[in-house]
Formats: sequence, C-alpha cells, structure tokens
Amino acid sequence: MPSEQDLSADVVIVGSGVAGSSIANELARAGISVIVLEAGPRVDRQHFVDNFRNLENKPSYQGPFPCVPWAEHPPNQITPNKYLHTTGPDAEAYQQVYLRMMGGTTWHWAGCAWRYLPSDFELKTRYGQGRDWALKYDDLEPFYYQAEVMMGVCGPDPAVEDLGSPRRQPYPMEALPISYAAEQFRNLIREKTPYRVVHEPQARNTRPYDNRPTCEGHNNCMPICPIGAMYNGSYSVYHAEAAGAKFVPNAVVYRIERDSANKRVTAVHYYDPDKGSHRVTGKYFVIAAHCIETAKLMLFSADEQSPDGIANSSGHVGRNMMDHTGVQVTFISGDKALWPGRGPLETNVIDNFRDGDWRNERGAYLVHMVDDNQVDLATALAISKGYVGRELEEQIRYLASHTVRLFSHNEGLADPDNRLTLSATYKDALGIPHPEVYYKLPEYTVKSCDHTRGLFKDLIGLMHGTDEQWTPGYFPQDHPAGSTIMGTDPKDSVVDGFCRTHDHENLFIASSSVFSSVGTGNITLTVAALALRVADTLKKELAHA
Amino acid sequence: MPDVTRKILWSVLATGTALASLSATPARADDPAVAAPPAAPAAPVAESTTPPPADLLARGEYIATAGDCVACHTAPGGKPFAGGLRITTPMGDVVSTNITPDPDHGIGKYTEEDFEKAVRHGIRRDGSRLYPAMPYVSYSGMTDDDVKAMYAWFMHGVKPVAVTPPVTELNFPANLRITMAVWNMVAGSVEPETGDSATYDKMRRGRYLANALAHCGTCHTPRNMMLSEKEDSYLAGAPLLGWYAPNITSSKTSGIGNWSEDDLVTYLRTGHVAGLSQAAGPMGEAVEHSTSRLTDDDLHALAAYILQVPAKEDEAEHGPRERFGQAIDTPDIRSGELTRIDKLDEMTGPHIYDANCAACHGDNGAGTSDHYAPSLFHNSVVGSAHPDDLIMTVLNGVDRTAGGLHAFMPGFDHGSDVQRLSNTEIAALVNYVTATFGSGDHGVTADQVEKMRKQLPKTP
Repeated sequence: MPSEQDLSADVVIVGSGVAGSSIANELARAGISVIVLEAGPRVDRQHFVDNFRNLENKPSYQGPFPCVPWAEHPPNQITPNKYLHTTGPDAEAYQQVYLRMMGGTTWHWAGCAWRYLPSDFELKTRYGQGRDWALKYDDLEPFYYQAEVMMGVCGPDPAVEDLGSPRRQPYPMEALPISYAAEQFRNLIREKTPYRVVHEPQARNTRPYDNRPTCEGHNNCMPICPIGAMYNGSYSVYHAEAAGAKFVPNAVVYRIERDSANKRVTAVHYYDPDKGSHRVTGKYFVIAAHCIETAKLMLFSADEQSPDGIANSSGHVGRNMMDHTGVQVTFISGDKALWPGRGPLETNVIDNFRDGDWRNERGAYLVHMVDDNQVDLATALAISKGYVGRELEEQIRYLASHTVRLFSHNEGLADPDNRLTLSATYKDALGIPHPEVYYKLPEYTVKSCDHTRGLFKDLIGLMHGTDEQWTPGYFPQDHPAGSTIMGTDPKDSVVDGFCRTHDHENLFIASSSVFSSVGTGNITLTVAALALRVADTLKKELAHA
Repeated sequence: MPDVTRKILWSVLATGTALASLSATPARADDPAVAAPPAAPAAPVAESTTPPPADLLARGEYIATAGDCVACHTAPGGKPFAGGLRITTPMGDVVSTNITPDPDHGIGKYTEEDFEKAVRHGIRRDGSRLYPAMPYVSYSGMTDDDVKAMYAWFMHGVKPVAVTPPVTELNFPANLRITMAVWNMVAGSVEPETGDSATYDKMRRGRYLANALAHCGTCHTPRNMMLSEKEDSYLAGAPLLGWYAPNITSSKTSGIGNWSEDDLVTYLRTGHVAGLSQAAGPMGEAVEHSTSRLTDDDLHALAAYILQVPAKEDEAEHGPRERFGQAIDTPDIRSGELTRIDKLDEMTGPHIYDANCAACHGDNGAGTSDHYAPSLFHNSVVGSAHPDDLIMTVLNGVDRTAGGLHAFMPGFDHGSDVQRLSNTEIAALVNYVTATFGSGDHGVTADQVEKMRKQLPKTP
C-alpha cells in the first residue's frame, strides 16, 4: 500500500472508466499529476474471454465478470437483485447493469457511439418538456470529435447519411460494412415504409486503429470483444499510465472531505479491501464513478457539514434517474432468411423518431435491429413446438435464420421522484450500503413506448412475422443518467455547464449522472465528450494556478 | 587477410559487441552520419538551374525504393527521409540522419561526388566514416548511372525537411569512427556493376537487385568473425534484432527450395503467401516500403535469382518449415468454472491460445477463410526450428501495408492495449503453438522471451 505522502496529486479522480481514464490521460499528457482511485481490481482481457467461453448463458452481459466483495456490481438484470435494489411501479425496468473494475463498463458495451442531437440539449426550450442542459450542442462539438478520435469511432459520410448532429470533421473511420441481415432489413424499410435505416456510429475499428485490430464480427461485443477491436476504457487507462498518471486499484472511496467553509474539497478517503483507510489530497477532484455509484458516494459521504450528502444543497443528488427504458420484441420473419449474427451486435437503426414536434407530448426513440446470433432462442422455440430429431435440427436452422429482434431506446425524462437512495437493509463487505432506486416510468416515456409498440407491430406485419415474443413490461437499457443533474440554477441542480458542482468549486463530476435529458442515442460518447471538456477546464485552471 | 590487420581490428573493437550488433542489424539501422557540422569548410553546393529530366528522377526514385533507403532514414511518424529512427544497441543508440536536400539539416550541400562516396564507400562529406549500419558495402555494387539517378532524385524529388535528428552517441570503441576505416580494410567492397542496369537480362538484373540494391544478404547472410557477410553461407539465415532472417537458399529442407517463382513474387509484392509464410518485423517493412513497389519484371528477376542461390543446409531444420502441421481438433478445455475478475493467474499454453489467438487463427489453427489471419500450420514461421520470429510476432504483432491490404495483428508485449502477456505465458504459448502446429516444442524459456522483449523498438 502506498504511503500517505504519495497520495496527493494536482487532480484526484474517482473511477477509471471511460470518463475518469480519459481525463487522467489528457491531464497526464499536459504534465499534470493525477491519481485515479478505482474501487475494483486490475483486470485483463484473456481471463474474461476464458470466462466467456466457460459461460453457459452466453448473452449474459455480467456473466464473465464475477465481482469482488469490496466493489460489488449487479450480478445480472434479475429483480430482486443482489446488489441494485429497485422499487416502485416499474422497478424491473430500472434493473441496470454495470461493472466496477479498471476500465469500467465499456468492457461490455456494444460500442454505439452516438452524438446527441442539438435539440436533446434544449428539450425544455424547444418542446416544453423536461429540462435544458446548461450547455449547447456547439459547446460540446469539439469534444465529441476529440472523443471520437480517442475511442476510434467509425460512422457514415454525412453527405450520404446525415445523423442530425452537425460535424466539422468526418468520422475517424469509415462506417462498418452492412451485414446481410441489416441489408435485408434496410431493403424492407426502404421499400415498404416511409422510414429509413442508418448506420450506427460505432467505437469499433473498421481498419487497424490505435494499435488495435479491425473488427472481425465475432458477434459477442457484449459481453466481451475477444480481440480488442472495440474501444474500452482500459485503453485510456493504459495510455494515461504511460503518460504518468497513477492508478490505484481496489481503492473504494467512501468519504469526500471539505474545508471548514464547506466550499472546497480537500481530500477523499478510501478503503482498501481489508478496510484500511487512506486519505488522498489534491487541488481538484473529479467523481467519475458511473451514474449510480457517483450518487451513492455523494450521499454516503454525508456528514455534519452536509447532512444530505456532498454537493447536495439542492437536494437533487440521487434524483432524476433516467434511462432509455424501451420495448423489445423477437419474432420469426415469414419472408426470406436474414441470417442474423454476423458482424457486430448493433449496427443499424431506424432514426426517424429521434426528433420531431411531437416531442412536446411524447418521448423520442430509436430502434435497433439487433444483429445477434439467434440459435439460443431458435432452439428453445423449436423444442417448445415439440420438434425432435432431424426435424428439430431443420427447425433450429430455419428459426435461427429467420429471427428478427428489435428493441428501442425511449427517451426518459428528469423526474425528481425517480430517486436513488442508500439501502437501509443491504450493505457490502465494507459496510457501505447498496444502492436502491425507486422508478416509475414517466408518462412521456410510456407514450413513447406505446408508439414504438405500434411501429413494431406494423413491422411484424410487413415481415409476415409469427411467434412474437414481447419482453414483458419495459426493457432497461443500462443507460442510467441524471443522478447529479446539470443546470444553471443551484437550487434545482447539482452541477453547472462545465460539470462543476455548484456547492464545491474544485469538485467536478464526469458521468452520465450530469445529463439533464437523456435523448435517444447511447450515452457513452456524450460521457466521454463531457469528460474531455472537464479535462480542458482543469488544464486551463491549473495553468493559471 | 594479414594477421596484423586482424589484431589491429580486434584491439580496436575491444568488446566486439558493438559492431556485432551494428553490423548484424543494418536493415533497421542506418547511416549515423550527421549533417556536416557548421564548422565544416565551405564546399561547392550542389545546384542546378534546370531540373533534371523526369525519366532520370523517376529512375532515381525507383532505385531508392529498391534500396529501401526510407526504411532507416525515416522515424516512426516522421517525414520521409528526415532521419531520426533510433536503434538501440548495447553500445548506445544509432540514430539515422536526415537525407533530404535541406542544405543545413540534410544533404543539400552534397555534390554528386560526395553522394557517391557516401553511398558506395561509406565516407561522408566531412571525410569521416559511416558506421556499417549503412549498407554501403552492398550499395558499392550500384552502377554509376543509378547512383547519378538517385542523386538527382534526392536533390530534386525529395522535399527538404529542416530537422536535425539527435546525434548518434555510441560508447567506446564504436564511437571512434576510425574504427570503421579499419573495418573497411577487411570488409572491403565490391566492384560496381557496369552498363545500363535497366537492360540487364533477367538473372543479372535479379542479382543486381538482390545484392546492390535490396541488400538481402545484409540480413539473411550470417557474419564471420570479422563481421563481414560469410561468402560461403550466402542467404543461409542469421539473427537480426531479436528476429531471425531465415535461410532463403534453395535448400528444400532448410531454405525456400519448395517455393515457386510466383510464390516468391507474391510474397515480395504482398508480404503473404497462404500456406507458406508471411512477413512481419524488418521483412514486413522491407515488403511495405520496397519490394511491394517494384515492377512485376523486377520481382520475377529478383525471385528467379534468389531461388537459384546454392542450397545451404541448416542442421536444426528437420524438414521444410512450411510443411509442418495440420488443422487439428483441439481437446475441449472448458471447465464451466468462472474465475473472479481479480484472479489474473498465469494461464497454460492451451488456455492462452484459446483466449488470445483462437478468435482469429481458429481453434484448429486454420486461420480465416480469406487468409487475412493466416493458418498456423503450413506456416514457415511456426514450422521453423528457430522460434525467434514467432516469439517476436507475438510480442510485436504485425503491421504491414502491401498489395492493397493492411495486415494487422496486435502485439502482446507490455505496451499492448489488447492483452499484456508475461514472459512465462509467451514461452508457454509459443511452445504450445510450435508443438501443435509446427515442428515441435523448442523449449522456449521465459528468460529467452525477456531478452527478445528488450529488442523491441522503443516507443518514440
């Protein structure tokens, strides 16, 4: 364990996922001293691939990542859950999964790297719903590009497919080739509907990039890319370490100490796995610990000075929990075979419902045509139909090649009643409470999901589909946001437009927890862009210090 | 050679290692001659009011490509020919020089005679000796016309770059350039070829390309005690910066005697022939920068010449290295057990292969159907009795653009973002791969891997 005097740096970051590690990398490259405290352990790819190959339930995102007791994460998406306890009318719809370990949850994402639309930042102004961000799209545009270069994002030529988020530069890499299944789906949508299917921007190599290979289409981006063709936070960890940033694994931050005026953070305290306590001082502090863990830490750090938790004079820490809670259906196409399961998992979407005037009454959404291998589902279906022997084999082949899976990202809305609190019942090995979330799907999102169901039914009809299997209720998307919401008014928000907490001038938050609205695109690229903007702010302030 | 010369040489080369490493590595090392110091006497500046004719420039460019000057005289990510490539040797770093026509930082003040002396005789403009990392012994076979064309192109076709790379600082005795004069007494040079090299018949053209330009022997021919290429072992294979430049004589068991001329042409053009071999490391660079850019006629001439080089057997090789192995059904190694994320125990050979290699090269070693990821059986790198290139490929990966394809495999060394393997793991993996798909377990040890890891190019 490092001695006390080593535990001090210009900037102390909590969390080593895409946000924390990319800030560390930027700062270290600018000659600023950085310590990153990661609750989970150091990890590597080969052990995850080994676990994946030993795993019975291959689509289980969390399966290959059995957690350590001092940094638990949800073992699965089942309610009741052994770690993330959800309550309320739509408890099951907020059963998020994420990873606590070096590199963070991007170890098992699908690489979807959307920019938000300009309108996503101005939901209140344009549509009278939810909240505006305390920044505009144009403020973030340069950082979106920086994030795309850092992660290695491929995407379409805007002249061919304009995704609605203005770009000053082309994507760093050309878009992915279109799989056979996606081609069939594109043709159907083009010929029989007024909608369109576009390339999903992907943090995935379509050529050798950043000393990592080209995607080969192993089709298991979630839970683990076996070759490193997809970005994950561990690359930024490695790059930051090479630049001199110091990463401390197994360091579970449990307290945020402030000065007597309660204006500046002076130190964070962490437990090692044996509950030895350590203090880390710095000039600036960044909490980049995932939406759920960030709010949990700030609430758990409550003390006499801040009885409701850190940076929580507004009372909004832990509130406004959002997601892209959506709808999911699989069915068997009556048309010709699609053969899904070749190439990455998520590459093509219907984007017609990402924005429109109707957003004044119902949420936006986007639709994924999921290109995953369907042998599991086909086998279960064929067996349930009573097939045996040679006929069973033929049916599996037929069903696996004709299965269509669609799911949607539907826009959540900031509602203070959707709230994360500390569990009064469950604690981890260090005595830190588990997170608990109350969730009731906002009416705005319910209407959006209803609209999506209508669209899905139309598409099933167009494809002469049978054997519909709708996921009961709503489908959590693991895109939690809002728990330390951004705003201009310190009375109803936690951070300002630069992700600086209103209450503590040297405390920043880099996470989807600052999102004021959640839009429809996957959240990671926006998290990375906000993080790089935090790094930019810190570089400027430290240069003047 | 008179004994007295030998004694003088050895007394100067007290450690021996300096030159051994330098001379064994010239394909990646360079001409460490720095630009003439400011105090150098003023000399006639090469100037020409009318640019040379286009065909002369084109020829010069082609000759420079065949000679692969760019490989050593360009730093990673740097401007072409601006130098700065750093090669670590036990005696210090050799840094290649700027050979762009910039008058202050490059060779802009070189006259054609100065240029000829440097290229063919290893003597730079200020009269001091180049280190034999620069393959001037090979280049001494170039025709006058080709030297002239190359000079014209360097002066008029290359963009001047006003950058001076760091100065080479070797330790004693290699830092004494006089050492090189002594070395030249024993290494000597060859007579220049004569006539118009473009009109040579196929075999003469092939020999010219192989020896005077592409300098194949610089890497593929072992060195004698005097650090000169062994004439009786021409192209018989030699170690090179951790890699092993294999035996490419016509031996059917130890060389490439089973390759057809078309095979070798394909290899030189693309760096890859399915079922035979693929280029990585220094040869990957040679393919990328040089041989992939030669004309079909020249590739055939070069291949025809190489394929008739007298066979030299290597006692270590027990069979054609490209013919070992076959697709195999690997035993099921699934336990169904999952390990906690912090359990990073070193894995065994089959598990390392399964977790890091099988995704691309296949469970059965057959590679991808389009051969982008090559098969591991029927692969001369895996089948060789010298596992050096396999170890170096695992450490360093492959990054080769040739024939319209960017072939890439990540490395697995300590700088890898994909996976960092330990010395023990790499040894276990390589032994597993050669035992399963190649000519047997060669007993690679962790210590061996550590030594080779140190040979990897440093991150700039």
